[in-house]
Amino acid sequence: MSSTLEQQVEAHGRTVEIRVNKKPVEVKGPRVTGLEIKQAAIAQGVKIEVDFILSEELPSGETKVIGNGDVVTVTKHSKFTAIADDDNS
Amino acid sequence: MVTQSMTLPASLHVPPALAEQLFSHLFPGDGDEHGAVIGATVVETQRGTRFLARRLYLAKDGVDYVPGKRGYRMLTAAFIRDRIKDCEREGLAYFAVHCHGGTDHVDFSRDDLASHERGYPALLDNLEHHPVGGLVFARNAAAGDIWLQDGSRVELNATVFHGARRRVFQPAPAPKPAADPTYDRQSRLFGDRGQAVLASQKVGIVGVGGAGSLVNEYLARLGVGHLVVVDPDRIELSNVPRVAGSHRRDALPWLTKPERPQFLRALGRWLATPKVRVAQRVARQANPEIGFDAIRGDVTLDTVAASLTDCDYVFLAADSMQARLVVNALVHQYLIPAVQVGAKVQLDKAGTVTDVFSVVRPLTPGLSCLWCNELIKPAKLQEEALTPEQRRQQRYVDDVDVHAPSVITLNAVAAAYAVDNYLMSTVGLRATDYRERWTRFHPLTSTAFDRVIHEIPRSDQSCPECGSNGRLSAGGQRRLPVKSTAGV
Repeated sequence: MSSTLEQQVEAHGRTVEIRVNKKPVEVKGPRVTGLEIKQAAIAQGVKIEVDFILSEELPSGETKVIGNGDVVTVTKHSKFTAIADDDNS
Repeated sequence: MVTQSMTLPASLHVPPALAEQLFSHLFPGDGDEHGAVIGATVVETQRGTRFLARRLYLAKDGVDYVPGKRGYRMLTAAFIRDRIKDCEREGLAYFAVHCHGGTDHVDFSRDDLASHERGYPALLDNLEHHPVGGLVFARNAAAGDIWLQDGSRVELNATVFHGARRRVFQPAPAPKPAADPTYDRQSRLFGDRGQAVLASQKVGIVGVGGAGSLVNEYLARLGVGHLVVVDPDRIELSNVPRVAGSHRRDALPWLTKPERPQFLRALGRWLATPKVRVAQRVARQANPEIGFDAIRGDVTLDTVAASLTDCDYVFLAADSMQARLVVNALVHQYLIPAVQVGAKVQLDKAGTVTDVFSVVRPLTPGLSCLWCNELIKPAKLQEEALTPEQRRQQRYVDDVDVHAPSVITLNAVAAAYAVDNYLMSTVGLRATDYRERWTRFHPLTSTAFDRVIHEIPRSDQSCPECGSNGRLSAGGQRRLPVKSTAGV
């Protein structure tokens, strides 16, 4: 019942607290783009850059790459990782 | 361009999505024959002619594929006519496809061959510039009868289905090769046939620094027959802790040490051993018989990139966005699977380590793509193109603005995992339902669960790089995103 209430509240465009690199980040939910998630995370002190690659953690334990323009529906259980897009060899 | 003759052997390469469609259509479980047409780009290489399946036209049972006048089934004339027009418009070879029963052996029936002799000369006249042919499939076998514009006929040597589990179909299983005692211990895992497959492979390595030098050694020791190694750089002293097989003397430290005059240090750097020569030395120590192309050059140059177009697989272990762009294009345009490997020590502005990871990103034609996943940034491409210091970005030490820590163990994790992936796929050990993932290793993460991350890459059907109307199977019809050697 409580989760239903939460969903109803979120559907009205309320703030949702998600996790980015394990840090709490508030976004205007429930539908938000990959770029908006990164921008919100940066604004709230998470040490990432807009160029970083964002991935959503799935219940299966795998992650899924989220593009800047991809829209995802977030809940308070949503977790994301953002890592550098370049790596050295 | 008129295809008058062909380099042998001839092989057909099929991207994963197209292969899945074709198999579902040919083998729906009813045990009957079904038909289709494949339009394929023709790529001539020194290792033979590769047909890259670009278009698949499924023949509707009872409409396009009907009871035959002389054999069991046939494609209708209208269907063939339209497909020939499609192939002509797109500059593709035409292959009529059908299936037979059976599993590991397949061949054309007498009726099949008679229909080729009746019909193919007219199709050649209509197509004008490209071959036409017939393909017949069983569940694990394929045969092909290819007719060329000069009137000659050749057999298809192999059909390669690309994907997380690479499969090679021939008309019948190849005879068991002779065992090589050198590889006795490893061939106990994948058999003498697997070892023979490795010996027949030509593999490219772009960048033989920290990660690439390890890949080079692993492949050479595994018995891969031919390596094409690309790197423009020479060994520096700070490379020695990471570059497999390098010696301090390769960096000429007596000339390049800081107290030497500038001109001597410059001379030392100019005379230092090229990284590709170190890689060649290591590879030859492991396998004196190995074929080895040491290309001291930049993969973003047309002639260098062209040297990779007949590879069976490519390892991308270079740092630049432009190298990513070129190799990613090669993957989709020429149906050459690849993997991008690297490691990252992420620092914040204060120099504090914020993340450490090794990464392995398999790139499968039409399936997983660096462009789709925003790992090729147009802004950075532009920056690299405008900056003459592009190569310095890969050297770390010369540029005070670049702080890129690098440790051999981080590279080794990525290199070993990537080569292991290549090995399992190439020798056919993967399960039928194997799902490809990108993998990151985070050694400093506190929870064990988060130390290895398996990632599902994005896929965008409209992608200009990997999409079916983009570079996929385009072969030489599209120019790779490279610079002209003439302008360098």
